[in-house]
Amino acid sequence: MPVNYGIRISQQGVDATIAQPYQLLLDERFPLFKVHMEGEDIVSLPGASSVGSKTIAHNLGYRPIVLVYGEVKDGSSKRYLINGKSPFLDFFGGDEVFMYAYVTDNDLVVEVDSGSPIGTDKEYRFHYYICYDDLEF
Amino acid sequence: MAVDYVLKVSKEGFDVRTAAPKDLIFDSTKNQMKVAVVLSEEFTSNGSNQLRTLAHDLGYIPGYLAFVKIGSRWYGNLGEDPIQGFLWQFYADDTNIYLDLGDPGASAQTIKIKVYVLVDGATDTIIDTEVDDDWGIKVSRPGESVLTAPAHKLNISTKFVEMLQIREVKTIQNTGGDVEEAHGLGYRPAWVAVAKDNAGVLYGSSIAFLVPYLLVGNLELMVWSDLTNIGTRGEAIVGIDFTFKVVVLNNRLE
Repeated sequence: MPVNYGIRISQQGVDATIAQPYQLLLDERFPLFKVHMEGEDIVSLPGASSVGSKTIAHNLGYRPIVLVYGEVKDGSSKRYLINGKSPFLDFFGGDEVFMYAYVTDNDLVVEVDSGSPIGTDKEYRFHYYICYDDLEF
Repeated sequence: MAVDYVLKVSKEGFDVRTAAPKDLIFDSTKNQMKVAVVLSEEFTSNGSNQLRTLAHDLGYIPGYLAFVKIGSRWYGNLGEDPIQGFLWQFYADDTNIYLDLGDPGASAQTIKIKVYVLVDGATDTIIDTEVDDDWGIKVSRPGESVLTAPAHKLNISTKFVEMLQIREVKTIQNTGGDVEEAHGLGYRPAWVAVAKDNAGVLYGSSIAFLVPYLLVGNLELMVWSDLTNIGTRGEAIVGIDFTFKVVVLNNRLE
């Protein structure tokens, strides 16, 4: 049975009733990424340590989609989208740590790993978006 | 004053009045991540490493989703392509999106880039952008006038390209090879993907993380799209079950 209800908004110049998915801005069938929590935070890495972490409670009770953008050198003006481990390779030098991010049912955890102690205290900033959208593993 | 007005659409089968946030398609009381600009570039590899620069002109460091096409496959924001051995990573600053490309000395070929640059920032510093024209459907954040709110203070705006989650692909990887599933879209879609170690052999089974994920030479979890399929690959995980979940987006890479 054809769908005869809902809300759809297409891109300018495209008929919303026949638009392809990539031509739609809003569609009652397709969820948007809805942000539950957003914030800026820091992973501290003491000079004598090679690993550091920060835990942020989201308390959703399930594993949500998250996007984390972090710096891998203290005070850097660059931000990387943080995957399981990122950046994986240092093409041009200057990066100090790997940064990881993962989610559990109630937390977002961001970790850094320098491989060996750097010798001076460091801080690595990151910005996170925790969405309501459920990974449903 | 309590909010007593809202625009919500629930997923099919859920009562919009009582649905949990995860069961809503959209909700005007929540920020929905929005695309400020889509950047594209095409260049020719030359056998040497390259740094490609794409200006975004936002004046702040934005969030992004980035993709690179090598051969027939669109890969994610970092990776090593298993066919030719290109290595790459993207990053952002307040001026540009960058692609570091490590070239293994492969023969010259066309490489394509597509980056969805988000209104949503990669830091807590966002510069007010131009106020939209007074048209379309816009919902501002609490306390902001919808008539004067800049882009990042809107929860919903039909001015922007949105990222709609149009389907999901789940695969289980334990062979080290490619696992592909047809997406049926007729174009090459963007995606967001996560993975977990089902039995907790290498990582806790209760955690999930974004992929691609690379420990070069040890563990490589890759995702791609092409004209027909969503593909996943897990190198060095023979005999260890990883579940991939790929959220296929409406956005067309090519």
